Amino acid sequence: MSEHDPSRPDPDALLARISAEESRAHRGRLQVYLGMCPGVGKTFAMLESAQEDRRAGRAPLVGIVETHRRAETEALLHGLDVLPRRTVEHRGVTLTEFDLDAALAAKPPVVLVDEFAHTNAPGSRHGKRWQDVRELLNAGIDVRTTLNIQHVESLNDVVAQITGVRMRETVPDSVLDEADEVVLVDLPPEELRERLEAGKVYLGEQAARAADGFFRPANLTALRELALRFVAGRVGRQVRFHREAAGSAAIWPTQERVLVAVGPAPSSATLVRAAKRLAAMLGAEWFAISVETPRALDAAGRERVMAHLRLAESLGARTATAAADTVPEGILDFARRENVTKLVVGKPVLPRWRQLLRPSPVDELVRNSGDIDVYVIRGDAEAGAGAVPAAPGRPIPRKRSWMFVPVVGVALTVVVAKALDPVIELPDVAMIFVLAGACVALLGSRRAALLMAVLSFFCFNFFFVPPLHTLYVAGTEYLITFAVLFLVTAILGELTVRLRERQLLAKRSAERTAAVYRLSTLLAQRRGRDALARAAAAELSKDLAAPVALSLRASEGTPVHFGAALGDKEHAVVNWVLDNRLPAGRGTSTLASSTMLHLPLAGPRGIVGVASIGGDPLGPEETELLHALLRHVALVLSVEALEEQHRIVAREAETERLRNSILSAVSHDLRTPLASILGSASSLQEQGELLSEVTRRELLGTITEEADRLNRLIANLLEMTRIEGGALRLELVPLPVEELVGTSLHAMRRAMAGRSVRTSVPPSLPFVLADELLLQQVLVNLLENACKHTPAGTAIHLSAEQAGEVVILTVGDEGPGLPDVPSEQLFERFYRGDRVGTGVGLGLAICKSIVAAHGGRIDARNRPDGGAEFRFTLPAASGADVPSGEEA
Amino acid sequence: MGTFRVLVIEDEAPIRRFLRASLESQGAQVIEATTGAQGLALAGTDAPDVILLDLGLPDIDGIEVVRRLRAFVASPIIIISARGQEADKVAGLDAGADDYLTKPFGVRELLARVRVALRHRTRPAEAPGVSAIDLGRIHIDLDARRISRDGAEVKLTPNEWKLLAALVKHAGKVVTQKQLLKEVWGTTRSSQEHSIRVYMHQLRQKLEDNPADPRFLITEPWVGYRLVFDSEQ
Repeated sequence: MSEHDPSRPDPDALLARISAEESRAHRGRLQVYLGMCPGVGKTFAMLESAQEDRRAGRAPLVGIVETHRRAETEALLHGLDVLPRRTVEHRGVTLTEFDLDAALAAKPPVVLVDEFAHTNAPGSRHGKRWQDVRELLNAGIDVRTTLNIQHVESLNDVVAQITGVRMRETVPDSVLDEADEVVLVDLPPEELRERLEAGKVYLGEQAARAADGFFRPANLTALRELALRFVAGRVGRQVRFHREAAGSAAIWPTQERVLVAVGPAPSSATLVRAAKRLAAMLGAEWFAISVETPRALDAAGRERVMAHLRLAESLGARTATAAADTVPEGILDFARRENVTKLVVGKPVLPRWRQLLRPSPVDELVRNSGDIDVYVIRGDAEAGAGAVPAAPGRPIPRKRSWMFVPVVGVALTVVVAKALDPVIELPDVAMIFVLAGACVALLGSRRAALLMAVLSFFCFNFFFVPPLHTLYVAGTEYLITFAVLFLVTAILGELTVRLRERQLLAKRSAERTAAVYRLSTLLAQRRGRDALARAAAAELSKDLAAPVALSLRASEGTPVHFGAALGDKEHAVVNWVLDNRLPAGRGTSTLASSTMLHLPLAGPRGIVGVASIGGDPLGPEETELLHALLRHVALVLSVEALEEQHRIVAREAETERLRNSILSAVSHDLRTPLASILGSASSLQEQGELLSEVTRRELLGTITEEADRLNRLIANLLEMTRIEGGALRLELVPLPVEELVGTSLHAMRRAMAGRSVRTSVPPSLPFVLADELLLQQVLVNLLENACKHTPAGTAIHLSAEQAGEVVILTVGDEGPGLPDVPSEQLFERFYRGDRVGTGVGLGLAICKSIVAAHGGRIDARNRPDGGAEFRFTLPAASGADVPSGEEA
Repeated sequence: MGTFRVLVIEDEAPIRRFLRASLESQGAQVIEATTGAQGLALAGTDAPDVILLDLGLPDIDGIEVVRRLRAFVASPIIIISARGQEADKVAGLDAGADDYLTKPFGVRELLARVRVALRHRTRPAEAPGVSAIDLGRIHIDLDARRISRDGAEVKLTPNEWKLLAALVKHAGKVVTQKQLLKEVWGTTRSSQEHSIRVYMHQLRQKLEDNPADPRFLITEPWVGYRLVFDSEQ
């Protein structure tokens, strides 16, 4: 990025834009009617445009519209199809909601959905209406909706400051960023006031309560400006977007990059929103990070950090967690790596005296930030309101009060020291206190160590330093003792705590690494999607101590499941996640009533499946582990899918190559005998009377011989297609060898006329386990091969012998022998030997396939006394396979 | 062979032409049918001595034609089918066909099959027929239960005898494994099929000069066995 040439569009950005545009091509268009506050006429404007469309013959479906019984608005519904609402019973109250499934089923080109920021009744599929809208868009349906500026997530704080009312219903900016069009519905504040006074404005319940304050002219002017700026900013971004695409250098902006650091403090949510506004203003890419230091956070704190990162993500930030010794170090490392230009941090809220003790991280940041601008933002005072609620984790077990150990420790020390007091000096008493302090410090609580130091200090003074039983100190010589006593205990405590924290962090990180390593070695030993998925599901379930199921996208449509069983409802959620590529289920905002958490497995080339996790809700550490493991699983599965695709392509290429060579070989080898047949037959037909009796017989002989050859060739081709098509099924039965030999010789008797055949099949030979027809094919091919490559009239040998568990069959000839090529090459498809036109070379390849299917081996060699021989083995049938005959 | 009537049920015109030419040269009167329905009708009206039936007819499944023919015709049926349809052949034979020809076939095979069929027609299997048969050097006397090779007696076990007797009864015709099981052991349990192989193996060792290149006891792979006694075959 640092070597970026400003005259050229950033290739990454271009790619991202192209893929965004591609995905948008299948998505519906989102049009948002944006207003500064209730009552400006958003719904009215939306319905007016719907009426225009209706007149043009493209009437949209009204998904849900709140008319608030205003006659002029209701009149605009005339002639439009209105979707019936879904009724929801909640605590005895009947609520009506937008019916998402009905809208999806109706599949209209355009649907109107009022009030984008609405929160759905409990039990709905999604928590928020904007999620419903997103699903409609994903289904390729265009959506028009309405929104007030105060519901935009990143403006939430600003609006709260202006109006004093904080909105709980917000829409993430990332969703608004995807809107194809934002229509500003504007009304001068004075006119709005007039309408308000005329009672033409329905106020939401919340707004009604605050109406007096809310609709003050100053507020309205501010809100209007906010709305106008929001839309203007959007337009500005769009202009830039198009110019960037065109590669125009003239207006190429400086590459600003904004980074916000978040922590567990509730004010981090305000920081995130501020950073979003800054980034939007600058048109900059922005990041949010949390820095993990050796000072461990408790579970609730970690969960709050995660929630802040999630918030940033929903506002369009890229998020990361960095590990470093101190927070400023981690922030600056990350900032330099990512070429961040602007940094947003919170103003420290520590009391003044603590700042004096230790410089705040902000001071350190400012000092070391170099050319990075640092924006220090005030943390929100009413933190609770702006805070992001943390998802409930596992409850933390209640511990015994941390004061217990220091108090008891000091008491014991006093008792022991008093007992020894008569025999030891005062400095030795101090040593006993130091020892006790060190012991307590080793227990590893910062607070306990500090309390111990303070208590030791007072008790030593009170009980041992004269004047006794007062806190008054007589001599200055004890001041050093006091200081050492206090400092040693405090420092030891701090060191122990740091050590423990570091250990804990290292242990956690080692555990995570070990789990990922275990998973990756386990998966490295597996081949094939199913084996990988099964192993991954089992391992995940072991690591998380919870049932885990993996559902993978299959080419046939319905996903394939591995691991834990899924209920009907969970199946439905899995399908939803596959389609929408978003997390769902327990702990998320979608289909939260599900008993499992369903996370998409996103690989580099899109979603490969869904991981479903049951059991108890996971703690933050387990969640982190889960994400690390899932990233790995997704990657492995994506690679596997890619490899599978390559295998298929390679197989197809091989099939294609085979098909081509079959076509050329077959067309040649079918034509040769056909030419002989046609030639002979036409000679007989045209000149039959002129030919001598001998010639006529010869021609007729040629016709029958060549026809026989064609017949065998076709048989081989059929067999080959069966073998290639994987349809080769063996009917294995115990067969006497001489029967196999006999039927093959019988089938070849015409082609082998005039040759002597020497057979040698000992009567004592065991039966062989073989498929009768396929084995006949092998022997016929070998016999034909022998006939083809030897001069007419030479003898052919056919013998069988037992060699242990197998029977060896040999077909030999007395011809010129084999060409000097490796034996395996003879058995390759379409190998034809030296001579041209003597067969497609399928025969031996088929022999090899059939013999191999029988578990035998075939090879070829030259006989010591001349000629070639082909030998193959067949398994001998065991005694149990062969019923015994009777003795004569 | 004298005059006889052959019904050819076959939809391919070139095959019909070849069958007609070959059979008429042997003095046969050939009736042609191109569909199963037509064939069934002609079988009823024209009383053929032999029926040649192609299994791949356009209208009715060949095996079904065999079944329907057998309901009213006693004449021998020879089915014609292609290689790779062994299961169909067996089904056709078990449904009542007498023999089969595998496409492509030569005129010699065709005439040999027809000759055997005619012989069995004139001497139905049920009637007490030949009691003795000569297979080259082998003489078989069924009534006396004696068999000799070059004049020397050959000893057979009871099961070998029964098997040989069944083949002799159908001499020249193919006999399926199922038919043999039924006639020799009175069972249709296919587990016994392997026993037939064992007895055939033993019979060949005892009767054939070269059991690996047999002249009389021929195996028809996947279908059954045939006792060839006609020197022409």
